[in-house]
Amino acid sequence: MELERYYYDNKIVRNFLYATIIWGVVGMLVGVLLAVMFLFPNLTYGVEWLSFGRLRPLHTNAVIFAFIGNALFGGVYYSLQRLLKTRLYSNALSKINFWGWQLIIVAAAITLPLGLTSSKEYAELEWPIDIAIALVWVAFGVNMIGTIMRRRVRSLYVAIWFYIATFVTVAVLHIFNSLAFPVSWFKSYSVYAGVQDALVQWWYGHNAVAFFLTTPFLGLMYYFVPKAAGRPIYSYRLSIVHFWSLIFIYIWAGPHHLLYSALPGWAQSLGVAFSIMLIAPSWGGMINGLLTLRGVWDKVVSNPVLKFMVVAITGYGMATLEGPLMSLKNINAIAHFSDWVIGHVHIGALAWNGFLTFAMLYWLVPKLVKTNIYSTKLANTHFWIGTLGIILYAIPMYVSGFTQASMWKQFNPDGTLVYGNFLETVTQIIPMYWMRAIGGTLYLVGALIMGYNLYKTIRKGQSVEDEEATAMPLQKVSSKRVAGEKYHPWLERRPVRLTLLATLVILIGGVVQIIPTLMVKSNIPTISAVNPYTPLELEGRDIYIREGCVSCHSQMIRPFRSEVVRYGDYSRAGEFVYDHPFLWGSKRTGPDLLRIGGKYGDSWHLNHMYDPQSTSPGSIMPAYPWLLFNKLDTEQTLKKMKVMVDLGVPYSEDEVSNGLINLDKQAQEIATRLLEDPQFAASYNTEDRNADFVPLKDREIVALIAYMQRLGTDLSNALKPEQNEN
Amino acid sequence: MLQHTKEYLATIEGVGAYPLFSLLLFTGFFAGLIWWTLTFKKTKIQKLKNIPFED
Repeated sequence: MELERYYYDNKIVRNFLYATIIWGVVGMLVGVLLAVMFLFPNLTYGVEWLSFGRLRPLHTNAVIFAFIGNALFGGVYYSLQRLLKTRLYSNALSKINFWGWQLIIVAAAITLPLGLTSSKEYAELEWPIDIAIALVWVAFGVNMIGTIMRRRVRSLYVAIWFYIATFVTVAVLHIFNSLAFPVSWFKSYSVYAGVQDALVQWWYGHNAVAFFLTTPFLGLMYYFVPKAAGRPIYSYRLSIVHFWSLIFIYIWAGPHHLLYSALPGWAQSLGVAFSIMLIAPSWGGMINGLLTLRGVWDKVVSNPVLKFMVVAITGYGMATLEGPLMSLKNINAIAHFSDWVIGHVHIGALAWNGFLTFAMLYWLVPKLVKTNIYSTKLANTHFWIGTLGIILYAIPMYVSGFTQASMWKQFNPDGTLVYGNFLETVTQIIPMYWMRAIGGTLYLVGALIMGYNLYKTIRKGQSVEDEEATAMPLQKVSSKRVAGEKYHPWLERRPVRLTLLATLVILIGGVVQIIPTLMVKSNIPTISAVNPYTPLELEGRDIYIREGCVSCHSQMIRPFRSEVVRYGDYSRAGEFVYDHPFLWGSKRTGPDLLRIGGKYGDSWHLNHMYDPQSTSPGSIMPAYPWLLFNKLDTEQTLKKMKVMVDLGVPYSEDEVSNGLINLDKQAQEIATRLLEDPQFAASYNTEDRNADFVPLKDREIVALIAYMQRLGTDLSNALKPEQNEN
Repeated sequence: MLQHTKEYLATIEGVGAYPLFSLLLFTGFFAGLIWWTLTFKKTKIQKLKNIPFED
């Protein structure tokens, strides 16, 4: 047999790596801006598209899908070709993958600041973009499987198994969580409501972390750590156990995001049990990664690539021990809704994903341009600044999480809350927010140093877009097991079989998660007093969604004395049956809003939105002045109600056809009440009555007030709520 | 069809045995996995772990 000549596609790898650097800096920059907004809440005063609630999903999407996503594609495409000794299956698919993904990122960067969002965390993008994501993802999958089919290496190295699991699982998760009924091109409602929506969302959310941020990066770890260290992985046996047990368990653990919620108790326990079991494979993987460096620790001292890898793998170990601990109910009671969660995810993002990406970039970029790194000293500087940045970010978040959660729970001897005003617990942790902003800035500075260093490296090198290589062709053997061949070696040369088996393994846990989702409807006690939102409230709710209020305010009161005393009666599953999508939130930068209805007057809400510090001195909520002047768009109101009917919300035909009349009537009532405030009436009456003038009743603030005042009142209006549940 | 599936699942007797069943399932899976990897020949393992160095 003759040696075959072929060419590795380095151009596509290079493109993805450049995109990684550019989007990484953008995503981190937005993160730093958000961190500074905790200190100067009105930094972007009056600019709608730069408000906190709209930028927060931009930050998370940019770092997850743009920074880490591009790194994932670049790393996979580089290693896949070398591990299989073949060029990528299709140049066209590679290009579709690259340009499609960048277009999706640009679409996200435009739509999220415009407030076009589904509000579901890490799945905020609206339905046309969701469809584009699915298509590009399939292009990636077909390109990968096609490359595997064309390989010149019989066995599939363990890294490739992780890539395959990533592809199939993310596809399943993305499709199920994004199911929605469109109202217009950029507005849709989740097909699930309330508790069911929460379950599907966190089944997705948890596994997005698992299969977008973890499994592909473990694959990259299994390739790049041995390459950089110059020695094979410590234990290949352990990597097999790591792979199968990790993908088997991970998908079961989603319910730990919904402890103390309306989810059936056994499903919560199941989520906790599997989260604890997850420590075993995760730490197996961490140990495998770190022990690969045994015997080369002297190199770690001088080689920045290995340094980044050591911190990345250690970060993986920390985050995967912390996560299961946080899923224990007693710890979760403290951690959930607090800054601890923010600290936890940033150990994962900054150390594990960020540092492994940096390591890969420092190793790979010089290889792609056939030169050495421009400055090892600068790379080392980046390492130390970045590490300091992580420490300064994470530790203050742990301190503030514990401090605030403890303050939320303190009682006076007479049974009242020591810190009855939520704001007192916020002002206490401002110094921590300062440190976090400094830590984040350091991390960003490190990334900029890397950008400069790699730019200079590229400038001094020579780009080779198609790298020549040779290998022997693969001899044909029977597709059946040959004599003496064990099952797994056989499986490794049957990629489609391996893919199907991996899918089966993740589906076992997935099905167990979906069953309670399907069952949950019959587990939700109906509350007769709970009615669908009025048209004006529905519009107000959409403004709440658009402005990203859910980023900082929960709507889920857990059955704790401290929460019931502070916010009111604990949440019932039956309260959320018309909530498409659910808005429980995952973080309380401000107080819970589930029972805010009727707590303050309409004028208070108006003043609070216009100038939060006027009603709550020291508040770190940004102002939303545009809500007081923008005209409420009612063009889609009836369509929205019809879509809700399609989703099972019991609006009668009369209610839908009279939707706008009812909306106007309710708006007029609120406007009348608002004008009873003489100070506001005085300023309103002096506004120019020119062509742009919008009567008060037609303004967005009125709809938002209608929604806020409705929140939680159904339950309190019912005489004895418990007796109404059946 | 989905509606029927929902009702069917909701009426499973003793659905509370799920966690125990899951635990046993995973423990069995994990134990089987370890036993299985131990049956790999050392030469084969050496070959597999060196794949990244053959490019």
